[in-house]
Amino acid sequence: MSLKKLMWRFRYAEWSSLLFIAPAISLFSIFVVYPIFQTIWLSFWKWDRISPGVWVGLDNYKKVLSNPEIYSAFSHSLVFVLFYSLIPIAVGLLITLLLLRVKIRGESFFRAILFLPQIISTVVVAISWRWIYAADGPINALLAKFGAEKITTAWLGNFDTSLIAVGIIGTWINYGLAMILFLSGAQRISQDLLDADRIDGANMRQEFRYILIPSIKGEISIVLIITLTFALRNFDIVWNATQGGPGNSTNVPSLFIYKSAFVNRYVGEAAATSFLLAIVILTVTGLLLLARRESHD
Amino acid sequence: MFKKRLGILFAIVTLMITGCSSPGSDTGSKANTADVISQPVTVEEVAALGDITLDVWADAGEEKTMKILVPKYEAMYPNVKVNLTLKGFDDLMKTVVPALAGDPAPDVVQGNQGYGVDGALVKGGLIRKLTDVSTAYNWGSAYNPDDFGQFSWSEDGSQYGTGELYGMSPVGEFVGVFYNKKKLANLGIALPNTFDEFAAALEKAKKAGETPIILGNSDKWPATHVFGLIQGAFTPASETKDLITGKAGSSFISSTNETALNTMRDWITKGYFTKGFDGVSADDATAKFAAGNGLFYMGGTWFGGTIGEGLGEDAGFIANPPGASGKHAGTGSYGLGWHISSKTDALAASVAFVAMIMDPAFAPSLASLDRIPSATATLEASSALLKDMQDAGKKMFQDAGLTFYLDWSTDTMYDVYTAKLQEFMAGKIKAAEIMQAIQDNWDTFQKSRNG
Repeated sequence: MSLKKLMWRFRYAEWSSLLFIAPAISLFSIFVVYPIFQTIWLSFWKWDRISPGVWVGLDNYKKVLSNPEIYSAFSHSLVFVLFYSLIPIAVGLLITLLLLRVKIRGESFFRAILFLPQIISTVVVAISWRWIYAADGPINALLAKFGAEKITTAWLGNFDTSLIAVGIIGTWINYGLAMILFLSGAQRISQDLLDADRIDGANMRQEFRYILIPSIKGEISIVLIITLTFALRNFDIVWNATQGGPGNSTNVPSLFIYKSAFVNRYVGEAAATSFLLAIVILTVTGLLLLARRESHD
Repeated sequence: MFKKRLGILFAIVTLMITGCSSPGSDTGSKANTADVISQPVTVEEVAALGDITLDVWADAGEEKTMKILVPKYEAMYPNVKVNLTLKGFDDLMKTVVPALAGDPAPDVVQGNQGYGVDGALVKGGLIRKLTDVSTAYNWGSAYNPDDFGQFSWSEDGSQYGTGELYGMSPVGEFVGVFYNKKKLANLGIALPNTFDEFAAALEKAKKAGETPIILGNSDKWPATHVFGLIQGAFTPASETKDLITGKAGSSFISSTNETALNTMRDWITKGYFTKGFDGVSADDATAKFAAGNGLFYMGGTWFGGTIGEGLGEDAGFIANPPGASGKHAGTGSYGLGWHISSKTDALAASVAFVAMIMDPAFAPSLASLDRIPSATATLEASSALLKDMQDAGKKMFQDAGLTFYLDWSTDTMYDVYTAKLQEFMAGKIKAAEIMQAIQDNWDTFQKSRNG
């Protein structure tokens, strides 16, 4: 076969494969790529959705970055990283380790129950937690019963506790996801390995460090990426639980975007904030993927 | 190959960017403002439009009203089919402006007073002036013309409170004091007629172990209504309205506002409000009061249905107890204004629709739904609570005491006001700081508005 013919075949194969992925590419371009470019484009305009837009260059970025509230909003997101991502991963790992060592009857039932928070609508979750956290809610009732009435408070309405209280809602939602993915990864661990390890006298800590963690490294990084993204772009839980309050104590960047775009109609500023948030999320997930690749190498 | 792929990528990016035209360049092109209404619209004029559909957007709270109005309207104008879209308040506020800027736009809509929504609609030339309609239907005799300011704007939308009329509402919605009659009697407290008597009643209720005021503020706005009532006892209503309508030289920083703020803070430290109010929603708080908790509830007339249903004959309502001036003043206004799109092709039908809901003859229908008609005529009340609310309304209307809503004053005031008030109520900032924050927001907005 001549070289020319070979090249033709290769090119034909490339174009025909492109044809197969064309529907997916088209949908992706229309609903993902185009809106991204449109958002970047809008971030250079001052536009109120009524009058014609005015080109302002980087002014929207300057405005957003000179607003002290945006930094406090990003700092709240960082706190949420702890509650939405790191703690759920720790809890998920703990449950996985326990289930690895202890066989419980009806394990799949408990697994389904523990995963439930992940599939309930976040609006329902936020409203339910609002009742749980209320001044006359069950948490305070329990505290009062055990003589700790002095520390009872409206957990979501108190400036000192609201951020942590919202964070705990995120923990409750995400630990199920972590657990399920870790458990599915742990099923790959051979029983022979575990038996040999236990005959050699490995304790729980050693089993965790030398068997569980290396076996589910992939799952851990996937959960980390999903939950980190969730923590940084979180809107629905905060909006339905506190609306960013009391004051601005639970405000997050997504709330800024929502209010700027849909309430105050500062579309350019909303687009600029969205782009900045996307950069932060991409940077964090990019670094994680890099670390994952390096650890695989 | 790499260069080629880079070329393709560059081409795609360029295509995407150039595909994005200048935003907003295709809006507001079809304004139809030439026709003047000099006489009430006749059935024949509407019939001349042929078979048409009238697109109406309204707040979901209007559902019951629309169930009475729309069949009546369609019977009178059989060639018109009303296509009604009901939206929750938040949803309506976020979509009505872009909807009127788009094409096709609804013919008749409800907006919201203030710079945030109505101001944007006027500035964008999206709604039609109704001054001629008001004159043709003589709204000035059925309604108090002093109240028209909340729907009046200069033609460029820069000045609020004066100029042309752009909307109108047939109902009043204001904040007052709901009370539990049975509890008030059991505690031996007389119905307060003044603000001092009200404060004394709160003290007595607290001493008796009762929660004096039920408040749920996790939605952030309820406390602004409570503050509006306290403010009404100290600050003249005209001063507050001047600030909200953007009158030059107005200021929120005043000794009377400071006194009102400190009174509110004092009540909080004395434990007059629901414990943990920032963690309780407005709906939950209303439900608690309706279930018999607490003595007073400082809330809007729109809660009358829930509270009346829960407390029955024990539910009472008074206008805000007046301060030293003797004038009743507090948060409130007419309901969401009805507007006509400047692009409508069915002007006669649109005017007929708005005129029918504004017709004083329709007021008994509104009253039958426990709403407070803003028409000056006296009406039969269907319940004791509604009678209380109507009486309170008369006092507020007579004293020109509806001080509107502070968040109308700028497009971002809601965020600043609600957040700072929560901080102030929690003792995080002082009265001077919240007043300064509100004033700064107002000054910045006025500066940007005036160029």
